[in-house]
Amino acid sequence: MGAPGTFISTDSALIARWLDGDHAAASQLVERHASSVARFVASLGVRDEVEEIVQDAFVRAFEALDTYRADAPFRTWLFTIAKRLVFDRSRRERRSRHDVPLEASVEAQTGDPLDGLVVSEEAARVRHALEGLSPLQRQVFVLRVTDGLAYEEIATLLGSTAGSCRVHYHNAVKLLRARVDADDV
Amino acid sequence: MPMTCERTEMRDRLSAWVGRHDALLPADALAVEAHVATCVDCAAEAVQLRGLDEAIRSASPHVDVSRIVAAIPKRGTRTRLTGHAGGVTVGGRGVPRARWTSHVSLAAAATVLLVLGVSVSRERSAGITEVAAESAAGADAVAALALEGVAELSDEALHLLLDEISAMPASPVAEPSVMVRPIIEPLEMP
Repeated sequence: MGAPGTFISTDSALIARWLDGDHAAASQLVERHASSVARFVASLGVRDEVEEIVQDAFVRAFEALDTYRADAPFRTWLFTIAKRLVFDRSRRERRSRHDVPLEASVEAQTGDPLDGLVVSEEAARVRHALEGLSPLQRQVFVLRVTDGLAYEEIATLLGSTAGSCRVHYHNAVKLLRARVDADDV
Repeated sequence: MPMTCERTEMRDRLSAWVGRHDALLPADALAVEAHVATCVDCAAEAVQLRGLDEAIRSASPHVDVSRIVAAIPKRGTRTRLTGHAGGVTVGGRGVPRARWTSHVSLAAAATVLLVLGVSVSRERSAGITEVAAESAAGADAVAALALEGVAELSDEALHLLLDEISAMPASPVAEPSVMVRPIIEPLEMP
């Protein structure tokens, strides 16, 4: 873990190094954020091609870094690009199926979003704890706890408001506590 | 057990403290740490959050970082065709890109259609036929790549192709400079 408060400035420094021609800086940025982006993509319900989407998100981000103004954290920017790619993918697949509604198409191709987020048997405990949450509560919880995003960032990413995300988070925590307490009985 | 701690500012920061300490300012992280040391409620919640956080991290999808890094273009280089069908070199590193290959082929097919004068929504053609002079050689290569495949398309396949072109990935916040962009822009659907 780095020193508190240095995360964003270090991202900016790495971006500046890459823009100056230091390709190794790209490696550090990918190592730092790839898992988070993959987790986010999986939380959107993608089961297959998670890595391809993550790769595309990074490639697109780096190709557009000249125009990145750092008014949002680099990771949030990556999430935004990845989300767009997932939606584009869903739209493409929906078109190929013509008469299948978007929601049904996404569900059919991806199954339960939890399957993408929780892939190992050892994680059954997490699944049990998380499955009682709504998809939105789950996304907010993971982005908040595991990825450390601010409510404002989560709101931008999910097309909601910071206040709403705060409510979703606290409701998620309340439900998780209740479920964990019930398991302990 | 219901949460009874009324220090909402601490509770709000608890998740960031558990999941990623560096998301907090140093002073805030120290304040949360001091609070958790004295608050039974927040300490219990921190333990639960940490358990979930660790489990979620360990269960996250695996990604091959080296493969992703290899696909990232080096500074000052652009995606370019390698000259053999289906191959796209990213930053001159020769990384196979199946999905991009698909898009390049689609863009190439569209270019051929335009070059050959096939009527593809004439009213929408303005603005999409411009081929940058600096990309002329690349466009020729792209057209040559696609010519054989397009000639064999049925009407139905052609319509599907046009649908695919119109559904090509939309731009992220800032548009990357991919080689296919100067050649053709995606068609707009009515």
